[in-house]
Amino acid sequence: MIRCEGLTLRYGRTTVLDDVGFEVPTGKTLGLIGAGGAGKTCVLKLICGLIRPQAGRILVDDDEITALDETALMAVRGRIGMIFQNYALFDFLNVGDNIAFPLVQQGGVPADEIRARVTRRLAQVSLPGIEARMPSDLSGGMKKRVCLARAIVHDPPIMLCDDPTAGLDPVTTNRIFLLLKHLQAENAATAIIVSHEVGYLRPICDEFVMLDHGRVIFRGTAEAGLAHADPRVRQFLSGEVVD
Amino acid sequence: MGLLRFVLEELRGIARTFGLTLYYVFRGRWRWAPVLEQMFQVGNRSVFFILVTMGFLGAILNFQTGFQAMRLFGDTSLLGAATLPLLVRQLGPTLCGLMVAIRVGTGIAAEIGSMVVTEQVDALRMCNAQPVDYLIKPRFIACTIMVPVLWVIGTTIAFLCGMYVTWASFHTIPATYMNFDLIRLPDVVEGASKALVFGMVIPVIAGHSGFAARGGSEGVGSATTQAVVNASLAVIALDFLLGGIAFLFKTAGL
Repeated sequence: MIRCEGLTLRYGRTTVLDDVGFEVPTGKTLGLIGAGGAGKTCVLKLICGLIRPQAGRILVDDDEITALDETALMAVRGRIGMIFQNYALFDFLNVGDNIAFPLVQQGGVPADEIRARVTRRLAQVSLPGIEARMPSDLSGGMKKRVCLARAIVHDPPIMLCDDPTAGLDPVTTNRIFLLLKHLQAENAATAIIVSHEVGYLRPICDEFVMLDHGRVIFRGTAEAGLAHADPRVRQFLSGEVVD
Repeated sequence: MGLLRFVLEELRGIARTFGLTLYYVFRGRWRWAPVLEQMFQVGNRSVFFILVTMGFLGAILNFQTGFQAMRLFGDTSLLGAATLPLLVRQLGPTLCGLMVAIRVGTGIAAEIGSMVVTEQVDALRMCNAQPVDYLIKPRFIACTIMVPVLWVIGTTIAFLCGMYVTWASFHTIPATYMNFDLIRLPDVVEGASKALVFGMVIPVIAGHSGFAARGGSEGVGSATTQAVVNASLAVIALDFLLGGIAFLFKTAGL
């Protein structure tokens, strides 16, 4: 379960998030939508404690993220798999070592087991046998899939996906959403997916939260959003132009 | 007030990074491969730069000092003996420190800065790796070992180049130049201490600047510039401070 209550985040005089609150029950998937600069990435980073809010509370299962120090946060982060907007693959490690990294850092997993898991995850993202290649040799779509493989290599019960298909062609986009759907069914993970691809999100997500200038303007199912009184919500969920 | 607050915040941030680095050196997991790689980057890759810089410094120092000695005394027989303590305790560590701050400090700040803006540092934290432990600690250990080594190499080459210039310009034979009568153990200890401290401080300051990078390539550029400025200022200020402490020890007869 992920619960955010009254989150407020400011950078200097700029308010990025203003009293943001929502809940994702265990095993459910939330689509976090909104225009660029609405604060979606900040919400994900707040949930894993990479940044701290000025006000508000975040609960991940029984852990209050906003009250934990860096050492305690490491244990919580071990239960979270994150796909970064800019891939965030370590450019000094090859693909195999990138995917193995969370397991190596976690410790206690035998080398053979790590190799087997890396091979399995690469096959799952349709990139078998590229362990020795460097991230700089990969296309954008391949990097995203490697990033996905790294995020799920330790079978995390919580997934945070920050625009997993940004800048990708429709075929790769479709492939990544199918993968997310498959993994969600396989692991019953609690997930938050940030994306502008609302058409692909609708079959995956149980609920949507829409942010606008750092405030929540909608929370509910896609159907409720399409019938919402606020034209911004309808426009975003349907893609139609509303005057 | 704004500048003062900026300086105080920078100092506080650097002190915090330094404290965390020391904590991970003694409490963190040791990984030798990155330390050895960084020792190669800091040491071997800097040797040529240090050799050329220190070689010219030794040559200029001896030429100018010899020129004045000829004018005043008409004798350059004590040139080697007079310049060696200066090289060992002052110019050697300071110039080596500045060269490492320029060559290695920029590299550290640019590398860490680009990792920050591409979210790789966030990814490290998500994978249970502490950025200071993973990125700064190997560079800290490498610089702490290699800057004193570079100081020894740099000082030696400066002394030898000075010897050649003295022989070529003033016809002082090498046997006369090689005079170690004025060098004392405290001079060596002072020089080694400075090199050691510079080696510890440069990667921490550069790493701190890298972690402060924001935005894109412009942010990385600013962080790199900040790293060179801060590290160079730190070398000069610490040189003065350590020199003062050494002087107090000498006057106290310790």
